[in-house]
Amino acid sequence: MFFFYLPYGLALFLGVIALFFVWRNYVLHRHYKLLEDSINTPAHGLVFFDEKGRFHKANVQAHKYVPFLENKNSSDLCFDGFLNYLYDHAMDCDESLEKAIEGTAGKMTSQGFREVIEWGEGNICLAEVQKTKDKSAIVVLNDISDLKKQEENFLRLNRYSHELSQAIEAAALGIVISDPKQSGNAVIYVNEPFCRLAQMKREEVIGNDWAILLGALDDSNCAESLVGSIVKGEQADIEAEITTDGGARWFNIKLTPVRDRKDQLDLFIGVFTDVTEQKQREAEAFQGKKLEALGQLAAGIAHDFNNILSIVDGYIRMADNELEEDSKAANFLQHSRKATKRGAELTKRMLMFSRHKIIAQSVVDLREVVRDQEPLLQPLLDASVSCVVRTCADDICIECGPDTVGQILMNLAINARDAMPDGGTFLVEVKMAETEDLPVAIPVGERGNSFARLSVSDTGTGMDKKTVDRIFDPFFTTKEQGKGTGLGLSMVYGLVQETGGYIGVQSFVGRGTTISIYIPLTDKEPTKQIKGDATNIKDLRLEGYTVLVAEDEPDLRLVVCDMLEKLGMTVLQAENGNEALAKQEDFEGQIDILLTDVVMPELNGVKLAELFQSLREETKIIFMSGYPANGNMARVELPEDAYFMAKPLEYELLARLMYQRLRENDSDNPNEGPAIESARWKTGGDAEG
Amino acid sequence: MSSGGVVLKDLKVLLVEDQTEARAMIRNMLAELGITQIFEAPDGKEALQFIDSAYEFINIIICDWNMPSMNGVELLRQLRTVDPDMPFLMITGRGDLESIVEAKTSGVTGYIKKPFSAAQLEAKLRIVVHRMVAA
Repeated sequence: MFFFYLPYGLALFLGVIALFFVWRNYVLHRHYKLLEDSINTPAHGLVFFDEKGRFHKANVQAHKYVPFLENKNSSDLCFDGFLNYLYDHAMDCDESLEKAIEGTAGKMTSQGFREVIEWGEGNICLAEVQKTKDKSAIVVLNDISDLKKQEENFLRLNRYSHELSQAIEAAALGIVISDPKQSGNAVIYVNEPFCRLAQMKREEVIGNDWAILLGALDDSNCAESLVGSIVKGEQADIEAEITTDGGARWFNIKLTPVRDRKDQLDLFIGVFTDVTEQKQREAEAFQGKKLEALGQLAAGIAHDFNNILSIVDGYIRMADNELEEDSKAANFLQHSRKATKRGAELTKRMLMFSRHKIIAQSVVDLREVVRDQEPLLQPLLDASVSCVVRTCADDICIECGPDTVGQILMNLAINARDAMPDGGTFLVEVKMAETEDLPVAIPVGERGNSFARLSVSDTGTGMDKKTVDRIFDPFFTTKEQGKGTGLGLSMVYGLVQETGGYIGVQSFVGRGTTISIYIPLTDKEPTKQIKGDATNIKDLRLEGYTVLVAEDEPDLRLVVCDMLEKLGMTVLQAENGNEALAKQEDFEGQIDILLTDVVMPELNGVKLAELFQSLREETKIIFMSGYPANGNMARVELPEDAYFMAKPLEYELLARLMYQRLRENDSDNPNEGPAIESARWKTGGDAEG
Repeated sequence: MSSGGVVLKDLKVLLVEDQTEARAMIRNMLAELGITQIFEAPDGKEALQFIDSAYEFINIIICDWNMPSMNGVELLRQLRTVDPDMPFLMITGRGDLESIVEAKTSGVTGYIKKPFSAAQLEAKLRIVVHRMVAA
């Protein structure tokens, strides 16, 4: 019986055993599946190598991060091969990895390490290699692409912040940051430009409060208003003047409160901008406009005043004609005429300021013109004032009107004299202007050009800023009533404008004034040049000077003109007085000398000279005649002190006389030859020599 | 006092000036130069009427620039349409370049700036006469 059931029992037992194994297998499979799922589920990749370094397992993520795992060749698919893969793709190979590669030789000996590898384009992965107790290896791979990007952004931000701070340090603006949460709203940051502007050291500013910084402001009201804004946490934007070692400078001060997320005052940022030059330009522009308006006004007044003067003068002449000579009334009228002349002079000056004149510009060497003026300046100054003229060695050629520099210097000399009642030094200097000296009034576009600098200094009383601002205004004067017209410097202003130049004024009360005039240089040769002197007539050249010859005898005119052309002069010729007048009318430049025959039909030389000088006051006259100089000039009387040459003309004498008349300002020069004096005709006496 | 046969004192002048005193003063200056034939008009319009009716009585016009109703330049422009050669001396209180260019382009023979002396007026008249003869 037992044996009958034994096979059934065994079969049952085996079946139970089989069932048990099936169940166990099922359970194991489930666990394995769970384990596999759990390995594949996380975002990080996992790779397992056994203790012999053979590849064991990798999850799905690992396959994604490390394409190496797709390698079907099992001999390559080992821990060594994996380390080599890491080495090839490492972003910055770690020393531990190198050691691991050296030490493995098929087995993992390293304690573990981390390496950042790059897979695919821009994907970054952190591989953490760990050794287990049974010497197998687990590699955990984490995608850190996003982290890396964040890090890069962070670094970039850091770099920006660095660049930003560099920019703030390099800016022309002074920047101060304070912390209102600290006691006294202490300054926590200040850039270098502020330290430069305020002439303070960084360590002096940091930790200080605003009141100390703003204490430098010249205007205490401004400082108080700014401190008030800071206390209230309000924005402020003002312009204020600060006196620094380099003189007074204007700043735009902008204070901005910065609030945090809770709307609490977090920071205070102060930006200081140096607006001195802008202010000066605005002031110059304002001054220019003001002077232009005043110029128009002056021109208008001058125009109407001229009309009135013409009438007054005309009627005085008419009344004078009706009166007996030397009568009392005639004497009174003479005084009235003198007064109208002064009036006419005044209108002339007003028009000079208003810049609406026609001026024939010529090229002159500024040094020569100034030196020529020197003898004329000293008599204008008091004996207690010494006049010093300094000129540089280089040519300083400028374009200006014939009398521009002389007028400028004379007006400035008179002002300087009045500014030095107790004597002093009147210094005139001519040199090339240095770019850094140029006044701000010169527009940026012109600053690259070369300028001549004519500076006139006195050691007088000086002027305060308010006076300096007004000195070029017409009719502005600080002199006593009746002592000045207030037109002198206005004229200077107008004359400098004619040359395309600019004026800068520096004045210190009690120390004196320097007026610097900047005139554009020209490349052209001087229009007029005297080469050589009267001691060597052969080499004497009077280049660029113009002479008008009025002579009715054609052959003689030809000879004279030829002589003058030999001297390098520009020669105009006329066959009679009326033609001479018409010729001068048509000639736009300066006519330096009128050389006229005395006896001519229609209009004699003396009358021509009178009419000519009524139109061209500056022209010098030389008479010539075949009649003897000492006697009856065919009933034509020469004016007193007239220059006369007897015909036939000698080249040498003519050249000497021309030279002398052109250098007349130097006529006190004892080096004049005797032949020159012999040409001088004195009315009522014999010609000398 | 002649230029190529034209003698200053033989000039037949039309003097156009709105200010009576100024007109009288210039008249006096002209008389001093020996000029006796002087006709006067207070403005451009009357001057034009005079020229229309008594053209043969004048051979030179001396005219102020600034006048009411018709100024000197306007008178000159109208004159030049009928007589391009009549000597015309413009009196101006303005010495600016623009004014002088305007006067020249309008066809003045000469111009004289106020205030002027008798010598300046004589010189300018001589220039105008010289040009008249030369033309």
